[in-house]
Amino acid sequence: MRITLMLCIFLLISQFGFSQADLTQTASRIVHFIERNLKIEENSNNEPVYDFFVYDISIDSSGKISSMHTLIWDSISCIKRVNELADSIKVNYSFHKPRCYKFFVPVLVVSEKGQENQRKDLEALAETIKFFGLFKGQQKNGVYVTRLATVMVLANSGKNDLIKE
Amino acid sequence: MHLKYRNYWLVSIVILIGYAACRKADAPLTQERGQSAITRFFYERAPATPLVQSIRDYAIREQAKAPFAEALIRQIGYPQWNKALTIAGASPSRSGRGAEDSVHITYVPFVRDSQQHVNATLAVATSPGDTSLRIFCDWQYADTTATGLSKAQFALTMMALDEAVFGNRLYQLTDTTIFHHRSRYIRPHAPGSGATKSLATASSSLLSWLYTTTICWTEYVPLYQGQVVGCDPETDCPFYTAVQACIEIIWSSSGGGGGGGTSGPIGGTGGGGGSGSGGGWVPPNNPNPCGGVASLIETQVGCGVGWVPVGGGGGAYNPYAGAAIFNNSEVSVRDNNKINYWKTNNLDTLGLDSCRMQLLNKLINTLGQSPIGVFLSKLDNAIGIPNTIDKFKIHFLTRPMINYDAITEHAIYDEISKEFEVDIVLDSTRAKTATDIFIVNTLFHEIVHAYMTFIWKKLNQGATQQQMDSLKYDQIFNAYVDTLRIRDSLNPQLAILQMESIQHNYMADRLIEYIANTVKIYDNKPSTNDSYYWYLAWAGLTRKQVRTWKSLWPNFPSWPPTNPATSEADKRGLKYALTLSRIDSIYNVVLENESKGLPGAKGRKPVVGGCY
Repeated sequence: MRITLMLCIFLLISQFGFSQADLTQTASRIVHFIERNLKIEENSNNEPVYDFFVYDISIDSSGKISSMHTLIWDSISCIKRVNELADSIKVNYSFHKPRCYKFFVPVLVVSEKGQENQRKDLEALAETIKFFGLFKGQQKNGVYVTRLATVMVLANSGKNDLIKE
Repeated sequence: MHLKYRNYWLVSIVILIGYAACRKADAPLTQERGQSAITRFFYERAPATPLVQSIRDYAIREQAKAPFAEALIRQIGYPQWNKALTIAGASPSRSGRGAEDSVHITYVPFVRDSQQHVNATLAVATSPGDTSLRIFCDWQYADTTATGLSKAQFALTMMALDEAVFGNRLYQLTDTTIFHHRSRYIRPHAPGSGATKSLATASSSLLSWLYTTTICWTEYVPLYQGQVVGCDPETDCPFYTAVQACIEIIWSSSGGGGGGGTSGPIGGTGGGGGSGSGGGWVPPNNPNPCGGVASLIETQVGCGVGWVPVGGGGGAYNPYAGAAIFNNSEVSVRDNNKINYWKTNNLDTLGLDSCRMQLLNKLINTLGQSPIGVFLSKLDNAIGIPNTIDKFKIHFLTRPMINYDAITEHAIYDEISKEFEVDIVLDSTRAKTATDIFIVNTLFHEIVHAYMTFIWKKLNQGATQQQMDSLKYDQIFNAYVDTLRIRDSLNPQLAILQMESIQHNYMADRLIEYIANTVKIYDNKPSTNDSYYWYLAWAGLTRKQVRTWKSLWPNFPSWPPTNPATSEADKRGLKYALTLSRIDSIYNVVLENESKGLPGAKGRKPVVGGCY
C-alpha cells in the first residue's frame, strides 16, 4: 500500500516536472521563433526605431493556442509583420497539458540607423522591460512570462552614410 | 629472451650513469644561481635610510635562521629596499609607558623581473618595543578582512608604492567597483604636490597602533554612461570628467585584519617570525594563480589585480597590448581544429549568389589560412569563457535592401544547446556593383557584429552578474565586456537599446587595424598603401553614433573639423583626412569608388557574365 502510494506521488511529481519542462521548452522555442522570424521593415527616415510589445497568448485546456493578442505599449512600426508572425505561432505551437492558461512574451525590436537613440522615453521603455524581467520564467496566477525576445538589426554603413554634414 | 634482459640492464646502467653525470654538473649550477638570486634579494638595491637598513639586516638574520627569500622571489619578485616608504612620526605615548614612542610603518615594494609594476609589499611596523611584519599582494585588494582596508585604500597604497619605484602615472581600473563614480582611470597625486602622504595623526591602544595617511587622486569618469570612447584620459581625449577625491588610509601596526607575525624589536636579537597564512615572511597564497611554481624564475602569479598602469612600457599595461598579442600569427593546433570545424560545418552560404559565395570562400581560406577563422578563434580565446566557435552558425544571404549595404539580424542563442545562429544579409544591388574588397570589408564588419551579439546574448541569457564580474578576458575584449557589464549593472536593457553604437565603437577602437590588415591580406596587392585599407575599414564606423572616430576629430563637436594631422600615417589615416576638403577628396572618394565599382576603385570590379 505504502509502495503504491509512493509510486503515485512519484508519478504525480514527475508528471508535474514533465509539464513544467514542456512549458519552459515550448516557451523558449516560441521566443526563438520570434527572434528568428520577425522581419523588420527598413527604416527610411534615418531615425532609430525601438518597438516594444507583448504577445498575449491564451491556451485552452488541451494545450492549443486559442487566441493571440498583441499588447502595444504606445505604437509599433511593424504591426503587419507582428500580426503575421502571431498567426504562424498559433499554427505551429501547442502545449502538452499546460499548467497555465496564458503566456506573455515581451518583445523588443531594435532597428537603429543614423543617430544614437532619440527616443525621449527610453528610460521609461527600459523600466517597462525591466518590469517584465522581474517575472521572467515565472508563473503567477496561471500566467507565464517568458524572457524578453530581442530582435535586433545591426547595420553596416547605410547607402548614403558618407561623412557629410 | 636472455639477450633481451641483458640489453635492458645495459640500457638501464647507461641511463643511470648519464643521469648521475648530468646531476653532478647541474647541482652546483642551480645552487649558484639560487645563491646569486638571494644575494640580489638582500643587496642589489641598498636601503636609503638607517631604518630600512635595519629592516633589511633583520631580514638577513631571519633568512639565516629559516630561509624564506627563495620562496618570496618565486612568488612576488625582488624587494626594492631603496624605494621603501616609511610613514613616521612621534605618536602619543602608550598607556603606562609615560613617554612618547617613535613608531613607523615601512612598506618595501616588491617587483617581479618580468613586470614593470609593484605587485606586493612587505609592511613592517616598528617601535622600540616590538616589530611586526606582513606581506600583502596586489590581488588581495578585494579581501578587506585580510588587508584591513577598503578596496580603494589598499589600491592607493599599492599605487603609492608603485609610484615610488616607477614614478607617477595613470592607472586603468580593470575592476571599476574599486572607486566611486564608475571610474575607469585614476591618477594618484604626486607626493608634495598638495596631497599629503605623511603621517597625519596617530592614535594608540594597548593592542595596536593606528596610522592615518591621506592620499588624494583624480578619477576619470567616462561620459556616455561608460561607453567605450577609444582614448585614454589626459591624452587630448575629451570624453572623461575629472573628479578630485581624497581618502584617509588607516593602517594598524598589528598587520591588518588578518594579524601579521610579530617578532622582537629590530636591532635587537629578534623574536620569532610571524606565522600563519600571509603573516611574517610568508606571502598569502593566491587562490587563482595564473602560472605554476617552478624554479627561481618567477611565476606569473598576480591574476585578479584591479588596476594596471597605463603606458609604463615593458610588461606594464598598454591599451593596445592585447591587440599586439591578438595580432600575432601563432595559431595553436586546437585553434586550427576549431577553425576547420567552424568553416566546414557552421557556414551556410546557400543564400549567396555564386560570385559572392566564391568571394566569401576566398576570404575564409585566403593564402591557405582562414583570416576570419583565426580572428574568431582569437576572440574566443580572448573572452575567456567556454565559448567556442563550433556553436557559432552564420547564414549568409543576399536580398534587396533600401537603405543598407549589409545587416546582421535574427540572432538567437539557445540556452540549452548553447548554439548561436544569425543571418548576415548583403544588399543584392550592392553585391553586384561593389568591388571585391568593399564586399570583403562589409562581410567582415558583419561577422564581427554577429560574434559580438553572440557574446552579448550568451552573457545576457546565460550568465549571472557574478559570473560576468569574474570574467577573465584579454585586453582585446575588456572594453566591450566592461561596457556591457557597466550598463547591465545599471539597467540591463540599456545595453541592447544601444547595442549597435557599442559594437561600432568597439570595432573603431580596437579592431579596425585587424580588419584593414585582413582586407589587405585578401587583396594581396603590395602596391596599395595601408592607409587605403584604413579608409575602407572605417566604412560604417564614422556615423554620428560612433564616438571613437570623433576622438580623432580635433575640434569636436564643432563642424567642420580643423587642424588635421600633417601626416597621413597618424591615427590610421582618419585624423589626416579630417577637413571638409580632405574628407571629400580622400575618405569619401575611397568609399564611393569601392562601393560602386567606379573607375578610381583599387579593388577588383565586378564584371558582367563573370565575377571579378
